[in-house]
Amino acid sequence: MTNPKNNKVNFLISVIFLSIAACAPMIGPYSPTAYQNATSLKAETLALMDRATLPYPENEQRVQELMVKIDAAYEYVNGIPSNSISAQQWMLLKNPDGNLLGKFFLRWKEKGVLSPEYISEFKSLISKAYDEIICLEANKKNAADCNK
Amino acid sequence: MTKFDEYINAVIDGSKSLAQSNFNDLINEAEQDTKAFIDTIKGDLIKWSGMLVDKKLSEQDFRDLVEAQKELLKIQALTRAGLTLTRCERFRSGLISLMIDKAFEIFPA
Repeated sequence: MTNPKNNKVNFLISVIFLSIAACAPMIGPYSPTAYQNATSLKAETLALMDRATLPYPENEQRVQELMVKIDAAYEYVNGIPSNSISAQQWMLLKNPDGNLLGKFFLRWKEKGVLSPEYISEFKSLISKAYDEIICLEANKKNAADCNK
Repeated sequence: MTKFDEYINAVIDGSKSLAQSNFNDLINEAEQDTKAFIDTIKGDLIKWSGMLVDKKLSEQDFRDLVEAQKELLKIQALTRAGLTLTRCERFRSGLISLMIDKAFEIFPA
């Protein structure tokens, strides 16, 4: 016959275990695809920004193609459950009405060409924004100090 | 002490070291990151002001860069929040493993 005390213990253990295990993850899992998208798009974006000393119309197609890829990277990240923090980061980076890529490409379009100084300083900020996205994704896999 | 008390104590002891390994450096790291970021902002503002005076940047360029930096700050804050959650998630996974391991150890089949 089953000991009632054992039943109580089993019940308590089950309740504790299930209450922890049943919760949704606090943050989305590491995604090698999201990581790869961020690192390759960083290189591609910075290379395209370097071309902003050349007339915008010559590069409009490239800008549009890059933004499509960035939109796809955002949609991928946004589709991962519990991944809203990473999705928000991508949104801030890509927002056409925002102050990062949206602003840079808008100025390029408005002015036709941009000064090397402006490009260089803006690139540094965009590079850091990508590094933040990459850092968070890497830390979902293993705790890593992104500054080293 | 009952077996269940022994189990709970073992889980609590284990969870302490688990918490220590996951959260010990959190505040320290957050402070360091914030300080490093403020230093960077200060450095950039000094540099851009100089470029503005030298007419290497227009007023609009300067404003664009400051606004872009504000946006970058938001992205950095999100990273910090995300890093804290990754630690919580690791702690939770570790706690579940600990509870299972200790249950098998203390309540052998």
